[in-house]
Amino acid sequence: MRLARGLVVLVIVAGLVAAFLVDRNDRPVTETVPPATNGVPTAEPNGAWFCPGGSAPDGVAGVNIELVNVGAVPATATVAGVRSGSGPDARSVEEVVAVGERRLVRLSELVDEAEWMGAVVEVEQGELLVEQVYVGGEVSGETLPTDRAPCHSRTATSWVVASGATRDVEFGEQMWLLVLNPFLDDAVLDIAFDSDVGVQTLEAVVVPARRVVAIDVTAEVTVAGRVSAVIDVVAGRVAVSRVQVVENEFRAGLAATPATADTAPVWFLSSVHRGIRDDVVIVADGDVAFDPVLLTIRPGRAVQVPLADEARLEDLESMSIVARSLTGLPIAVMTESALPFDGRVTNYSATVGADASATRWVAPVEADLGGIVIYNPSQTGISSATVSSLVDGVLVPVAEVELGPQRRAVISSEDLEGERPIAVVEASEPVVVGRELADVSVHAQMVAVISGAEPVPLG
Amino acid sequence: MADQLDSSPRDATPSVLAVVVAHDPGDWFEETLDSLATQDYPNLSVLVIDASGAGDLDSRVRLALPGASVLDAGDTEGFSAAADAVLDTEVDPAFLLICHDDVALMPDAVRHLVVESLRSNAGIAGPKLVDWHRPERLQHVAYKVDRFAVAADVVDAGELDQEQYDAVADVFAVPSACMLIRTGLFRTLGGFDPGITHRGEDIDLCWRAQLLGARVLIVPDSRVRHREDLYARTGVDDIRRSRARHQLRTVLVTGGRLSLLLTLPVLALLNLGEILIALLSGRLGHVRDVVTAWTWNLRNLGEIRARRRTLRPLIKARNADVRAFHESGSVRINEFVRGQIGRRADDEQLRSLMRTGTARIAALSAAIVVLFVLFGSRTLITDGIPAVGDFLAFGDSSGGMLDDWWSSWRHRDLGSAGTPHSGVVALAVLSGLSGGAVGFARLLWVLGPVLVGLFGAWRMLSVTGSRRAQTGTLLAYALVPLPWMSIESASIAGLYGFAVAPWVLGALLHGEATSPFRSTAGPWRGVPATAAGLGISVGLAGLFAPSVGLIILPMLAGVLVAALLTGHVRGVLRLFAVVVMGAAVASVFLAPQLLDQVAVGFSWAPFADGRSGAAGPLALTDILAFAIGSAEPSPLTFLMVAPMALAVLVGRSWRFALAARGWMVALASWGVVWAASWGVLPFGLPDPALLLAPAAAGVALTVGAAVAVAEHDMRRAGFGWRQALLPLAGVGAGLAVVPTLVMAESGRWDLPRGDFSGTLPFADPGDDGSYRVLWIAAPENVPGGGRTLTDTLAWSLSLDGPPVLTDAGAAADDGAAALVEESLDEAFAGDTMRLGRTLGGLGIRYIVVLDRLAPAPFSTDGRPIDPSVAESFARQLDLQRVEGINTAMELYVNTEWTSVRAAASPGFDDGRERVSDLAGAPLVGTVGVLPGRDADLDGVVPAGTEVYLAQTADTGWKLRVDGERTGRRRTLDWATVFLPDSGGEASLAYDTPIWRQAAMLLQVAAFVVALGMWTRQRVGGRRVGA
Repeated sequence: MRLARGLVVLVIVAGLVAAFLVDRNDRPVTETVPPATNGVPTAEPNGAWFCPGGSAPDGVAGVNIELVNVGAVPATATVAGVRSGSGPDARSVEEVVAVGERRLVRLSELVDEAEWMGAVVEVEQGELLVEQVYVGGEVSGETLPTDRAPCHSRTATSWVVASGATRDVEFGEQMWLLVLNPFLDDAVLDIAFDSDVGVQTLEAVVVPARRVVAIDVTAEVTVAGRVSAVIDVVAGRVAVSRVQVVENEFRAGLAATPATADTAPVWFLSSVHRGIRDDVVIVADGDVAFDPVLLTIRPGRAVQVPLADEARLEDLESMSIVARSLTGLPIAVMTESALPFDGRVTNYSATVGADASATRWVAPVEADLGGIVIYNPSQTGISSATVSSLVDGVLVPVAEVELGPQRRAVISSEDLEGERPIAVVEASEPVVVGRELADVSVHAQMVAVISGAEPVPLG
Repeated sequence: MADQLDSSPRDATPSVLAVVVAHDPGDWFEETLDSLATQDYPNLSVLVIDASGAGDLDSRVRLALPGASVLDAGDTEGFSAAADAVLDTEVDPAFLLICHDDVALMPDAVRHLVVESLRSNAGIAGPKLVDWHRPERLQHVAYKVDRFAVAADVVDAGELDQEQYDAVADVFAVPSACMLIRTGLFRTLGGFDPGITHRGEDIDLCWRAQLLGARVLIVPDSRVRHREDLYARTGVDDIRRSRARHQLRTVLVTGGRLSLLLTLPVLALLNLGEILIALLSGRLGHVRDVVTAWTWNLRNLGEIRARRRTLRPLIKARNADVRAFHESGSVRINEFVRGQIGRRADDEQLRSLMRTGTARIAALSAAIVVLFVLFGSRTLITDGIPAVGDFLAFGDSSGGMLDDWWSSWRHRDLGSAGTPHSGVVALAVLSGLSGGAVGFARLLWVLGPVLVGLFGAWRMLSVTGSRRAQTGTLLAYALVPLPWMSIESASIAGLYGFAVAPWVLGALLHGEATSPFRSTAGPWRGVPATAAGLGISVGLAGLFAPSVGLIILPMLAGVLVAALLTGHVRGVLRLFAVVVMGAAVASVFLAPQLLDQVAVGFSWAPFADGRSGAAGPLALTDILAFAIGSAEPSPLTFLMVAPMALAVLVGRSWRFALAARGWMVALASWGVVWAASWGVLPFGLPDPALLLAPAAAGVALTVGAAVAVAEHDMRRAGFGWRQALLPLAGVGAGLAVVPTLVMAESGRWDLPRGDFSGTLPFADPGDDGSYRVLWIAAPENVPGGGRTLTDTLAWSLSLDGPPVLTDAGAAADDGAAALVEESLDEAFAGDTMRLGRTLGGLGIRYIVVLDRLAPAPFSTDGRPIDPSVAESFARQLDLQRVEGINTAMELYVNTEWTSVRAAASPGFDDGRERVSDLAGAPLVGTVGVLPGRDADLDGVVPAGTEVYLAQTADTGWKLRVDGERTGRRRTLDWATVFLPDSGGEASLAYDTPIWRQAAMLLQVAAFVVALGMWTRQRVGGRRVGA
C-alpha cells in the first residue's frame, strides 16, 4: 500500500509539475501569414489590374490603357471601364493579346460622357502587364506632353501621395487625386493633407461602388507649393493615383503617378533629379557614393529635399536614390524632376520608387528613349543579371551585368531589340529595376513590373 | 336487507351504528367482529357492508354478532361508495361508527368516542390507532393536512405509545379506519366522496365537515388496533397515484374560487419540482402519477363542479377558520425535510433511501443540486435556448426534421449521403408531442444531459453503500464548472460527454471488478451486463453527439495506469472485455453512422469538429479549472485539489484505489486536452469540453472517495496529520465551488441571450431559388461544427439560411467539400479576385465570417478572425460586403451566385471543366428552380432548359418532368446536370439506399428497446403475488 501510494503521488505531482513547467513557455501558435504586399506592381496569371485612370480625351490627362503580353502564350483579359459621376454604365470588352503584343484600349470607347474614367482589367488567361498611357491636354494654350504609369495590381485601405503642388494661378500647378473603387460596395475615405500652407483634412469622401472619383486638391488646398496626402480608407478598398499638371516658365508637363499603397522603411528610386523627403542615400554610377542627407520627419508630415541645391551632384548625368528610414518606421517617397530641353526646363515628371526587389522584372520601354536601371540592394551579395528583349514571345539576351552590393547599372533602350522593346531582367539575386522615358514629347519615370517572381521587401 | 336493521331507540344513550366496510377480509375479521361484540357501550348496533358482494360474509358475521346486519354493496366501487351505502338505509342512529374491516377496538373505545363527542359537541371523533401486532406502537393519532390536501401523521413511524398524545384535541382530520360521525352530519355531507374510492376519503370528509362548522376531535382514550395493509391485500401499489389524484380532487371541491387561484399555481409548481426530483432519481412512475393526477381530475371536472355546487350552500364556517387548522407551508416538503416520507410507505425505494440520517442528507443534497440547476437555468427555462453554436434551431417542423433524417441526405456543406445524428428523431418526436412547441424539447436537449450526468455521478459510488460518498460525488460533479461552461459555449458534445462520463467510468470500474466493485458471484459474472450498460450509455449519448465515445480512451488509460500503480492488474482483461463488448453494443446504436464511416473508408472529420490539431488558446490553468468558456479560471477552483489530495494521501483499501483511479482518469483527460492545446497531436481533437468530461468524472470520483475516507479511515487512528487534513479538505472543497455558484447568477450560465436569426438578412429561397451560406469562424464558433480550413479557422455550409439540427456535425462523406477549401485557400493566398464566381458555382450566396458565438450585444467575447482573412474577402471584386449588420460578423453577398438548383440554357457550362474555370468564365443566365431543403422537391422546370444541381453528384438524385425520368450528365467534375426533354411539372427526389434505412431502423429499434427496458425497470405499479 505504501509503495502504491508513493507511486500514485509521485505520478500526480510529477505530472502536474512537469506540465506547469512546460506550460510556462509560449505555445507554438500558428498565425496566418498574409500575402506579401508591396508598392511594386506585379503581373500574375489570372490577376487583376486597377487603373485609377485620368480624364476624358478632352481633359487635362486623357487616358488609355495599354495591355502588354509578357507571357509565352496569348493572353485574354476583360477590360471594364469605370466612370466618374452618374451616367450610362461603362462597358467592358474582352481583349486577346498576342505574345509580345502591346495593345492600346481606348477608355473613351468604353466610358461615355464621363469627366474622369478608369478601368479594371481582369486577366483570364496568360500574363499581362497593364499600364496607363496619358495624353496631355491643353493648359494655358499649350499641349502638355504625354506620360505613362503602371496600373495598380492590388487595392488597399491606405494610400500616400508624397508630393504635389496647387499654385495654379502663379505657377500653373494643378493636382488631382484619382480614386478608383472597383468593388460593389461604396468606399469612404478620410484624407489628411499636409502642405507648406498648413494641415487640412477632408473627411467622409464617398467613392461609390464601381466608380472613379477625382478629388481636386487644387480646390481643397489652395496655393501650396508642396502638398502631400494620406488617404485612410475607412470602408472598402480603393486604388489611388495622382495627376499633377504644371505649366509655367520653369517647367511644364503632366505627371500621372501611382500613389503608394503601403509605406515601407526602404525605397529605391531609380532615376531622379529633385523632390524627395526623408534621409537619402544617393547612389551614383561607378564607385561614387555620397554622404546621406539626414532628415527628421514628424508623423504624417512631408519634407522636400531640393536636390538641385546639392552642389555636389552637379556633375552627375543620372543617379539613383535610396531612401531609408533609420528608425524603421515606414515612409513614402516620390521624386519630381524636370528635364531641360531646347534650353528650357520642361517635361516635368514624377515617380514613386520601389520597396521590393525580385529576380525577374519586365519593363516595356520605347526605342531610343531612355532605358532601364538595375540596382542590387544587397548589402553583401553580388547579383548577375541578364537583360533580354522579349520578341515574339522569345527572350533575346542583349546584356549581361554583374552588380556588386548596392551598385546599379543602366541599360539604354537603344541596346534593346524591337520597335517597342519589352525588356526582361532576370537576376541571380533580387534586384530592383526602374525605367525612364524621356524626349521632347514624353518624360516618364517609373518602376518596372515584377513578373514571374516573388517580391522581396527591401531592407 | 335494510329493513332488518333495528332502528328504534333502546334507551337514553345515543344510538351508535357501527358500519364495518368489509372487502374479502382475512382471518382477522373475526377479531374485528369480536371487538365490536365486546364493546361496553350499551346502545351499539353493527352493520357490515359487504363491498365485494361475494356473499360469504353473512355466516361469519352472524356467528360472531348474531344481531348484526349485513348489507350487500357489491355494486359499489371503493371504500367510499360502500360506506355511503348506509345512507340508502332507513336507519337513523345518533352516530355512525365507520370502520374498516381490519380494526380491533378496545372494549371502551366506542364509549369514549361518544362521551367525548357529546361533551365537546364534535361532529367527527377519531380514536388513537395503534399497530395491530404491536399495540404499544402508535400508528395514527389524527392527520395534519396542508392546503393542498396532503396529509401527514402527527406521530412518527413506529413511535411508542407513552401517552404523549393522550389529550383530546381538535384536529383537521382523523383516519377513516375508525371514526365516529354524527349521522345527521354524514347525511348532510352526502357521505364520503364516491369519486375518492380509497385513500384520502377521510381527509375530504373531515375538510367538508369543517366547512360546515363541525369539529373534528381526536379522542386518545379510545384505542383501536389497525392492520393497515391494503397493499398486501390487493397486490396493487397505487398508493401514490390514488393519493395524488384524490388530494387534488379534494382541493378542487373544497377550495373557494379565490383560494384556488392562489393554491393551484403553487400546487402546480410543487408538482413540477416533484417531477424533476423524480426524473433525477429515475422514478418515471412517480412522474406519471403526478402528471395523471391533473389529467384525471380534468377528466372528472364535471363531477367536481357538481360537488362544489352541492357543497357551497352548506358552508357555514369561514375559510379563515378552516385554514387556521391547515398545516402551514407544504406538508410534503416539511416531511421531506424531516425525513418522514419513508414511513408513508408510498415508495419503497424512497423509503429505503430515507432509512438513515445520512440518506436524508443525501436526498437533501440531491434536492439542493436540482434546485441549483433550476436556479442557474431559470432564464433558459423561461426564455428558451437561443440557436447559437451547437444549439442549432430545430427546423420548421418535427415532420420536416424526421423527413430530413429519414432521407439520409446531408444538405450541409456541398451535400453528401449520410445519416444525421439520430437524436434528431427523439427531439422531433418530443417536439411533436408538445404540439410543435420546441421550447421544452430544446430545454430537455440541453439540460437533460446535465441531469443524466448528475444521476450517473450519484450512481457511480452506490456500490460502496456510503450515501455520504455518493453525496460527495454528486456535489463535486454538479459544481465543477464543466457543464455550465459547456452551456456557455453552446457545446452539445461537452454536455453529452458530461452526461455519459460517470456512467462510462462506473462501467469501467465495474468491469475491472476490484473492490468495492467486485461481485460476490465472481468477477466475470457481471461483465456482459456491465458491457451492455457501457454500450447503451455511449450509444444513447452518441445519438446526439457521435464523438462522445472517444472519452472512453482517456478513461481506460487512466484506469489502466491506476491499476498498474496500485498493483491491481487482475481486472485488466475484464476491463478490455467490457470495453470491446460495450463497443459492440454501442455500434448497434450508431449503426448508420458506422456504416457511413465504412462506406468512405473512415473519416476523422466528424470527430475533429473543424479543429486542425494546431496549438490552441487553452492554458494549463484553464484546462485544470475546466475554464473552456470566456471567463478566466478562478483560483478558488483549484482548491478542489484539497479533498482529492486527502483521498489519495489518507485513503486505505478501496478508498485509495478509487482515489487513484479518479486521479489518473483526470490526469489522462487533462493531459489529452493539454497536449492538444500545444498542437503536438497530428490530428484535430473534438471540443475540449467533451475531452474534459472524464476529468470531471475523475474529480467527482476522487472527492467521493475522499468522503468515504473521512467516513472510514479517519476513525481508526488518534488525532494526527491525517485528521488535520480533513478540515482543510472541507474548506478547500467549499471554496472551490464558489466560482460555479457565482456562475448561476446569470440564470443562463452566461449563454448568449440571442442568436443570429434576427440579425442576418438572408433572402427567401422561394424568391430566387435555394442557396448556400458559407460560415467561417473559429471551430468553436461555427454553428453546428465545421471542417478544418486553417489552423485557427473552420467552415461549414448550410442550405437556405442558418443550419438546423439535421445539419449538425460534419458528415463522414465530405462530398465535394474540398472544392470550397481550394477556393478559399486560393483567395487567402491572394491568387484570385473572383472568389465569388467559383463559390457561386457551388451555390454559395452568402459568406458569414463570425468572430464570436452570438451577435452583439448578446456576446462580446470571441476569437477575433485573422484580419488577413477579412482582407481576402474584401479584395474580391464580386463579393459585396453588407455594412452595419453586427460587430460580431462580416457578411458578404456573392453577386455571382448560382442557385443550388437552377434552370439554364443548354450548354451553359460549355468550356468549363472544373470549378476553378468559373473564375474566368462564371455560370450566367441561370434561374433558380425547385427551392427548399426536402429530399423530395416539386416545381416547374422551364421548357428548353437543363437543370443544374449544385451539390455533390449522387446517382440517388432523380429528376422527373411530367412523370418522365430525365437523363443526366456530370458537370464541372463535381455536380450534376439533368437533361429534361421538355419543360413542365418536375419532381426532384433522393432515393435513399435501403441498407441505410435498414441501419436507421435498427438504430431506432435499439433506442426503443433500451428505453423500454429502462422504463419497465423503473416505471409502473409492482404487482406481488397473492
